[in-house]
Amino acid sequence: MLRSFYIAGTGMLAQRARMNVLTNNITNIDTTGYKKDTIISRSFADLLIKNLNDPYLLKKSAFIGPQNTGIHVDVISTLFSQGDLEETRRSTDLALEGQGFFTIQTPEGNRYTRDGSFSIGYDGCLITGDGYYVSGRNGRIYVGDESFVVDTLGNVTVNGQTVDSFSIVTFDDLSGLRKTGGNLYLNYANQPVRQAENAKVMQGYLEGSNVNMADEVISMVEINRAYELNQRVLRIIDESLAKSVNEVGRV
Amino acid sequence: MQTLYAAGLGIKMQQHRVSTIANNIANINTTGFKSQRVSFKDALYTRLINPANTASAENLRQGAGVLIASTSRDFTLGNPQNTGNSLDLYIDGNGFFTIKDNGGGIMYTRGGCFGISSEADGRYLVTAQGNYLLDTDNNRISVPANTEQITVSPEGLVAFDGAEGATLQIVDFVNKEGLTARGNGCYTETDVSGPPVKSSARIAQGVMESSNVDLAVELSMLVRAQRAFSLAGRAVSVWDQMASNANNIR
Repeated sequence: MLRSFYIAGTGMLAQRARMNVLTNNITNIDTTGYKKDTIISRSFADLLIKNLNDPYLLKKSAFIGPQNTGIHVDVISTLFSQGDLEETRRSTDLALEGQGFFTIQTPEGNRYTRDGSFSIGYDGCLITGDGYYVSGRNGRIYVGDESFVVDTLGNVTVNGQTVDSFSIVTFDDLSGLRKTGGNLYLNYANQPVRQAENAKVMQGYLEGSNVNMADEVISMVEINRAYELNQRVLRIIDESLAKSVNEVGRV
Repeated sequence: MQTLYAAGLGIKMQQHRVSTIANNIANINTTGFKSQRVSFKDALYTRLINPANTASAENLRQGAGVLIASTSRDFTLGNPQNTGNSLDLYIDGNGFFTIKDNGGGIMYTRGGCFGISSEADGRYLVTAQGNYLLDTDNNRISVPANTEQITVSPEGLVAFDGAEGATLQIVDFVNKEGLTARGNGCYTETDVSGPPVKSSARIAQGVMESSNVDLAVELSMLVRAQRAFSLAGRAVSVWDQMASNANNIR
């Protein structure tokens, strides 16, 4: 009886975790380059139920069968599907079409991002909204003013001369990237960084988030009901226990 | 509880965005107004508390909502409008007029509807708020008495009835977005904007720069902000239901 308590409890905890992740997705529905997270739940290992001390044992084996012991959150994984491109016509707004990331220099090391809403720093180099420099072939990318042109391969042309190109990279296993906030990813698994072959750089565009409002609303309804269902189970078990404690064997 | 705070952040950020959009729309007719745009970033991620499988704990990071990454100003040129007033000046390209603020410091502005202020020690060119227009030597530009016609050449040279006077100081900045807005379309230099450099943009006389706010863009942003706002509100009410479910177990 008590086992079902805990199983329903694990269900509720898992739904709550799903709700947290979903809410984060929803609030980031307009964040440039945001990639939505999904939760993958897994069952705990099954318990094998054994019959103890049953004088009427008919079967040879005392084992009744496996029983599930609830679920837990296994992995929160990021879905790296392409977001919609939105034209802004600002020369410092860049979007990536295809798999790839811009490389950003932060005090803690290189980070990667899909958010291409850059601006020009006081030294004429491209910076992110937080003030970190964007990496080109050798460090910072100097553009001078907004009249620079970027082609789809990421080459930067200033006053007719090709001066630099963006460092657009990708990884073999995108699940080894970890979000660190500020639209940045950390190469947590220390995978080798390689050049992205299939990424196109679009100047004057921004990539929207890949969060689909309809999907999230439907998931919200589902989570709510699943949570309620688990809560129902808990209540029923509670009432049954109350009966067995208070009413069975009442004199 | 994290759901509640994350959703709360979502609501707050969209409110900021709506304020910015409302300000843009309110300034749709302000001379030389530069529209603002809000961009977002996701907030810090934290590890899931008490994960069942500690080995994969690194894969269990959940986000904490959204924050405003930056509120940037779009310095795209506004459309020129012919007014015929000889003191309406338009900078055709990147650049700002240099003016003096009331405390004696230097400010910069795109707003080119100037006038003449008659004072005890002479007549000077001023902005609509009364700030002096400065020439290339950072001096006020005095207008001789009985001047009938003021002409400004494309290079900014001011002539009074044909007699050449001072040259307007027109400057530009590498990082215009680093300028601090002081209201009334005036900006001041900061460390981030870089120092002022001479601008080679041409001046057109008798022309005014309109605001660069595009109503269609702002309205569509407003609809998006409203949608995101109501979605975050939905998340709060669903969380509320879940919490009340949990509270009503017994």
